[in-house]
Amino acid sequence: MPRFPRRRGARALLLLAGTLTATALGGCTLAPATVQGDRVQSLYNLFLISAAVVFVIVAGLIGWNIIRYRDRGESELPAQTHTNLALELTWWALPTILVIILFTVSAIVLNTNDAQVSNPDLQVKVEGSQWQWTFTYPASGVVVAGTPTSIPELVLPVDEVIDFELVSHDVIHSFFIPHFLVKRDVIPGVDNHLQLTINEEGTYAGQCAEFCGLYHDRMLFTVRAVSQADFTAWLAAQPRSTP
Amino acid sequence: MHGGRRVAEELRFFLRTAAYTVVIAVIYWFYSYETAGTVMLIFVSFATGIVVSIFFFAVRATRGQLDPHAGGPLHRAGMSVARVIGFAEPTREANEEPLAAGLEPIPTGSIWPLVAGIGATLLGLGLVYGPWLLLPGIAVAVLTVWGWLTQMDAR
Amino acid sequence: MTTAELEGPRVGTDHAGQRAGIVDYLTTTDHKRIGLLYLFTGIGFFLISGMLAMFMRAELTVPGLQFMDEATYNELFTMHGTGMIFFFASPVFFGFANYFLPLQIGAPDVAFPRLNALTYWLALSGGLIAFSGFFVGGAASFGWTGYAPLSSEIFSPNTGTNLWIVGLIFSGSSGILGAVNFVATVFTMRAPGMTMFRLPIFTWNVLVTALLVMLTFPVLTSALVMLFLDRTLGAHFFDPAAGGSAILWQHLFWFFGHPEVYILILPFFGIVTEIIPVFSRKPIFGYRAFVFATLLIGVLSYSVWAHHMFATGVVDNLFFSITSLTIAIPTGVKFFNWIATMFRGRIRFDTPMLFCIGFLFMFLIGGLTGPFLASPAIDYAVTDTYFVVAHFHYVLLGGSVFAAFAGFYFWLPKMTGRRMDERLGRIHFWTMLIGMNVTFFPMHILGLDGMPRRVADYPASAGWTGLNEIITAGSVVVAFSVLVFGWNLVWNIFLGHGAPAGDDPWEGYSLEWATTSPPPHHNFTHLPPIRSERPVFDARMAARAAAREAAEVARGPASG
Repeated sequence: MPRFPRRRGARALLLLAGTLTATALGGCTLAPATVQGDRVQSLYNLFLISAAVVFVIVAGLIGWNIIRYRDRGESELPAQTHTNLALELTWWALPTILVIILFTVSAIVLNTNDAQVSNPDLQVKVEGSQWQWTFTYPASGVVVAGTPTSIPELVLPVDEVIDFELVSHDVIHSFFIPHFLVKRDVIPGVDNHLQLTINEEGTYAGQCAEFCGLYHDRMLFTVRAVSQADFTAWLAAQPRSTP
Repeated sequence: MHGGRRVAEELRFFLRTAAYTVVIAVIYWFYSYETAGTVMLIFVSFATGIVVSIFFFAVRATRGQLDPHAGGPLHRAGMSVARVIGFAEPTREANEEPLAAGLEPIPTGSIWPLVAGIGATLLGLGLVYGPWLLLPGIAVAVLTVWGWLTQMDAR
Repeated sequence: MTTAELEGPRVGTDHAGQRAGIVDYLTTTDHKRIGLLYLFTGIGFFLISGMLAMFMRAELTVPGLQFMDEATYNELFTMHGTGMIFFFASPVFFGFANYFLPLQIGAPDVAFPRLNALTYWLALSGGLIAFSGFFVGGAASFGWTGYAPLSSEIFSPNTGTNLWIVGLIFSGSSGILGAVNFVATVFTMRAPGMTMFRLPIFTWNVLVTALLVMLTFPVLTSALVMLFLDRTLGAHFFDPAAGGSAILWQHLFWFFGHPEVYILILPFFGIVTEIIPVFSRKPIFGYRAFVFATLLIGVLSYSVWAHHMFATGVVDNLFFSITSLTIAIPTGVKFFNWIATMFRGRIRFDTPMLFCIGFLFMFLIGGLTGPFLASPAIDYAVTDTYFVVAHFHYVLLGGSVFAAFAGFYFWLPKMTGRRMDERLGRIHFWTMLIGMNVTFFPMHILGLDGMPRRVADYPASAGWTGLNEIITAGSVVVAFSVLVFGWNLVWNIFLGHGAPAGDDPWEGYSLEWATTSPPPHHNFTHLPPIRSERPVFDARMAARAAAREAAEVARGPASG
């Protein structure tokens, strides 16, 4: 009968410690650049801590069992315990409580982030088609069109409520800016709006996040978030598209 | 609650799904007014409901009597719910026979499943490629139905 | 042991020593042979789909397209997913269920043996048809999820897509018929004394899975038929320009698709729950609660589907968030039952148990990333990125596949009369465990960093290269571990060098261990009395008690 020597148990524990370290090192979201993203990051961190705690407890219990209760060659059977009602009720109750807490916080963040105003400060029309993005500022008639060889840059002001109208000309795409911790699908036949407020100036990568065919991997864009004054100046300097 | 018929686990197995999906369908409809999901939930409820009805009326799926004296009314009500959900075993379990008695003779081998598979493949490819595969597929399918139903088992 | 026992049965022979030929397998209606056909077909598609993944990893190691164009890459990830889900995991489930369901309930076969054989031929045919797309101008290339309108005749006009649709319709039909068979078998063919609450947990899990299959595969099949009509006969179900709805496809697909992932894990929960008690020398802790949790998962799984659609903005995210978080409860509780089973046991670390322990750790990680995705605000950030890819590979590879290997090591001796090599098994386990973690753990980080899924290439400036290199290295280790298993299988089982297994090499609990390895035609020559969920354990204890009594009587009163 194969034995499970102590060094194997130690190896398992090492794996555990390594995993936790890796989580701590890499398990964080990108630094958010929007008001909504800040809330998502806090929510994510709550979930991460909960998951880490549960992991340490459960993995610890498994690890302890496999080290402590390995077969040492005794001839007697261990006690054939079938159940323990108090224990079972407890371990149904505790995850239930955790789920209620996590759902409540999720609902609050979701409702706050998804809330939309009827008078946003800036309207942007986002058009997705195979395989480039086109951005239009309807109020001023400025159009920024991507081509198969050039990635469009979407310039946006900080500290303003921006409403993105998402329009697809063919298949489903997804408007995804990782640093905003958000994406919204761009669906033909569906009038989708995404609203957010940027609070950090900077340049951010964007990419289509719903597989849309052959060159889905090339459907990129960038977002440049600037101060309101810089944005107004930039907008004024753009050529108007002829209707 | 005073006694009542003991509901077999087999019936409860389908009953749980039927009950849950119909309740969820109602909640979901009034919460979202989304048609596709509601229709699918109702479909699940309906399908399992048919099975529940068949068990209840046509098969010996309820048998025996519950012990009428087990606990007060609240306890019995709680136990009824627990039994439907499946957490508690009905009282007086004993040797529960399966729902159907008697066995058909078990076949030792048959060519017809393979032929049926070939026919289905021809039909499927025929749908993709056209009638010159579809027609042989239909022919094989007809042959299969005849062969399958008329096969007498050699014992 | 006698000489005959030392030699053991030859692989592929029945109890009378007759070697089964091709014709026997082509015309079989024996659930055991059908089970073997399913299992080895599943292994075959695992190898093929795994190869596709290796090609994908080769391409993704560094930025730039080195080995293939985007068109090819898109076919690879589509058929990798389709192959693994429909033509590996499903056949392995049907294989183990076919072989062991009748044995565990003490039945001589399933309720509809010829139908059973048909389900196998449909499953095999479906896989071949779907993959044949590679040879006729390109396989399907829109992801295993087939979203409309990308899968329409306008955006995916190739024949490979039609073949994909037909192949999945076959797979679905096969599943539905097989599921009906299993439910009918459990309801009508249990041996005397085998009440529903004495069924082994594996049987319970197969039963619940079968119900899920019966109710959700018709939805997929209908959606596929509708898509086929759109593509070939001018229907417009999913065409928004003509009044149809692209979102409708997603509702139909995910109403099937989410229960599908429970279909992919529940039987494997069952396998793990067979092995852990046996190798801890204890009964399963909380049998009733375990059954209840499984039933609860089966029922709740109908109401969670649109958590795959949170980012669409057109479904009620709160409703699906609460149902999705709730379903984590019965799933998580099972961990405590497994832990309590091991607690104060005497744990033997044979290969089946090693894989179960690996399963526990890996499914824990995968299960813990689930709630993140069930919270819509977080999901907006991480869905459609490598975070999701990490999550589902932890639960599918770390969960289902590890449990499937546990099942192979546990049950191959019963199915073939030969034991696998323990040392090779341990090498397989450790290399697969390490490789799997090196491959998939970094994907969480990539997803959080914003790398989307289903991309053939990525910008060098994104900073994702380092992790991708590590991931590819890990995948090579996983591939190596599969080769180790393959060698173990070929050498010890097919070439017959494995030690003879005997009836009950593991001191098992359920009825399959009460017969020979492999079992004879119609399974049992006699059955032990069935008074609990562990009839073979009870019989063994009774035999030992009887032997002790006989020994005391033989020693006589003076020895007392």
